[in-house]
Amino acid sequence: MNQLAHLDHVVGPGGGSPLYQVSPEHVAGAIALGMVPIALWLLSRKATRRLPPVEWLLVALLLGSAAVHAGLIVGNDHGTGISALFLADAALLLVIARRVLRGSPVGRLGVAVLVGSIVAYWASAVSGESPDQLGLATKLGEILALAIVLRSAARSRRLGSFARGLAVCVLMVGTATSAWVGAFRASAAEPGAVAGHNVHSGSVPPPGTIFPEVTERDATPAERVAANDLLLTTRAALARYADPTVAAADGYQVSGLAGIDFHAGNPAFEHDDRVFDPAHPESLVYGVAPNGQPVLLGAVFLMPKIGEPGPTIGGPLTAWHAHENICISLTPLALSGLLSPLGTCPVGSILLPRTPEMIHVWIVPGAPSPFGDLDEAWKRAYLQAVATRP
Amino acid sequence: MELTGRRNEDFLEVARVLLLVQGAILAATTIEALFWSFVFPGAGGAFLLSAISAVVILAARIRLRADRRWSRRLVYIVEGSTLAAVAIDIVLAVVLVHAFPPLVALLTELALPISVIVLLRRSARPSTAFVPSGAVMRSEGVS
Repeated sequence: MNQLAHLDHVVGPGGGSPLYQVSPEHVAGAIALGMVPIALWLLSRKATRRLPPVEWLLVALLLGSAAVHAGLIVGNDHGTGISALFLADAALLLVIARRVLRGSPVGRLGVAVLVGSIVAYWASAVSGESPDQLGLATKLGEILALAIVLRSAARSRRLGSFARGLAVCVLMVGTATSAWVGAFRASAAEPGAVAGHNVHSGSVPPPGTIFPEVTERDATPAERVAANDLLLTTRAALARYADPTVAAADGYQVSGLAGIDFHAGNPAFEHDDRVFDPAHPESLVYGVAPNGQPVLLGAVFLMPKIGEPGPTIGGPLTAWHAHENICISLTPLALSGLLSPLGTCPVGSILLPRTPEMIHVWIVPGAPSPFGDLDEAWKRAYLQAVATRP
Repeated sequence: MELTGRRNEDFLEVARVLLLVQGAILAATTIEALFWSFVFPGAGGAFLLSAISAVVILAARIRLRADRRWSRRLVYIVEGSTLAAVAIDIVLAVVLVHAFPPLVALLTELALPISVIVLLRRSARPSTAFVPSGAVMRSEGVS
C-alpha cells in the first residue's frame, strides 16, 4: 500500500534562517558602516569643542545608523517609497549627530527619530520581513543611542531614571519579540501561520533549522516507492518499541516519559557508525495519551558527524535537516532554547552552533508528513483517539 | 586631580548607559527563557540565572559610583561569567563549523561586557594622563 500518495515536494529553499545571517541586500549597508570610523577620525580632528566620551559614543552610534540606512537605499529592493524613508531616516540621524557635535540639545527630535526608526523596524518585521544580523545590530545601536539621549532628561530625578530604564527595556523586549515574529512569519506558509521545523512553504527556513540545498521538484515514481518502502520497513522494525520497557532494555532513555513529543535518545546508537538503519534509530519519539498510555509515534535518525549529508532515499520526500544556534543549559544539562535575536542564550547556557543532520520518520498511520514535522494539533488528536479507542 | 575625577566620572557615565542596555537585553532574555522553560523542562535553571543577572546589572547601573566597590564586583562577576560562556561558544563555533557566532552575539556577549569591564577599571584608576603638562610642572615647582 502506498502511504505517501498525498505528498508532493516538501522542501523549500536551503540554508539557515536569515535571523542569524547578514542578508545579501544589506551588504551595502555593512560596507557603509565600515566607513564610520574614518568619519569619526576626521570629526575628532576638526572638533572645536571637547566632547565627553558618552557624546562621542552617541555620535558614533548615530553615524553608524545613518550609514546603514544610506547603504540600504542602494541595496534594498522594496521600491522608491522605502528608499525615501531610509534616506529621510539617514538625513535626520545626521542632523542629530551634527547637533551633538555642536553642543545643541537633541532632546525631542532625537527621541522622535530614534523611536520612530525602531518602531518602523518592528512594523517591518511583524509584516513578515525576516530580520537579519545587520538590522538587529543597527536597532541595538539605536536603543543605546536613545538611552544616551534620554539620560540628560532623567539625570536629576529618580522617577525619570526609572522611566528611562523602563523605556529602554520595553524597546529591547519589543525588538526581540518583533524579530521572532518576523523570522517565523517569513518561514511560514501563510500570514499568521507558524512554520513546522522540517516541512515549510515560506521563503526561508524557520529560526534554528537548516535545510540542505535541494532542488524544489516533485518526487519521481521510483523515489516515492523507495520512501514508501522505508516507511513500511521502519514501522515493522520499531513495532517492538511500542512498549517503552523494551526500548529501555535496548538502551533508550525513557525515564520521565511525558508530554506529546518525548524524545528518548540512545547514546550507544549515536556512536555505532550505522547510518539510517530502520532497526536502530538514534532516538524514539513517544507521546502520552490523555489516559496515560505511552504511544510510540516515530523515530529520529541522526548522521554521525556535523556537516555530513544524510542519504535522501526518497529524494525530496525524505529531506534531512539540521539545527543551528541551539542553547544548551549547563544547570542542568538540557535544551534551553534558541539563540535570541539579541544574540544571547539564557544565562548559564552555551551555544551549540550546529547539530548533525537528522530526519524524522513518523510511523503512526495517517501521519500527514511521515518524514517531516508532525503538527502538534494532529498529534493531540491522534493521542486523544488512542485514549478513547475501545 | 579634578580633571582626573571628571574623566573617571565620564567613563562611569558611559558604563552606566552600557549597563542599562545590557540589563534591558538580560530582561528580554529572561522573558525568552521563561517561554523556553515551558517548552523545555530543563530550562528552569537558565531562566532563574537570567533573572538574577538582569536584576544585578540593572541595580548596579543605579548604584554605580567610584566609591562603591560591591557594585563593581557584582558587575565583574556577571561580565566574567558572560565572557567565560562566550569563550566556550566561540571555541565550539570555530571547531565545529569553522565560523564565529553571529554578529549580534559577538556584540552583546563579547564587545559589551569587555567595554563595561574596561570602563569600570579605567574609572577606578587614579590617573594623571589627562592633567595638562603645564599643571604638573607648576606643581613640581618648575616655572
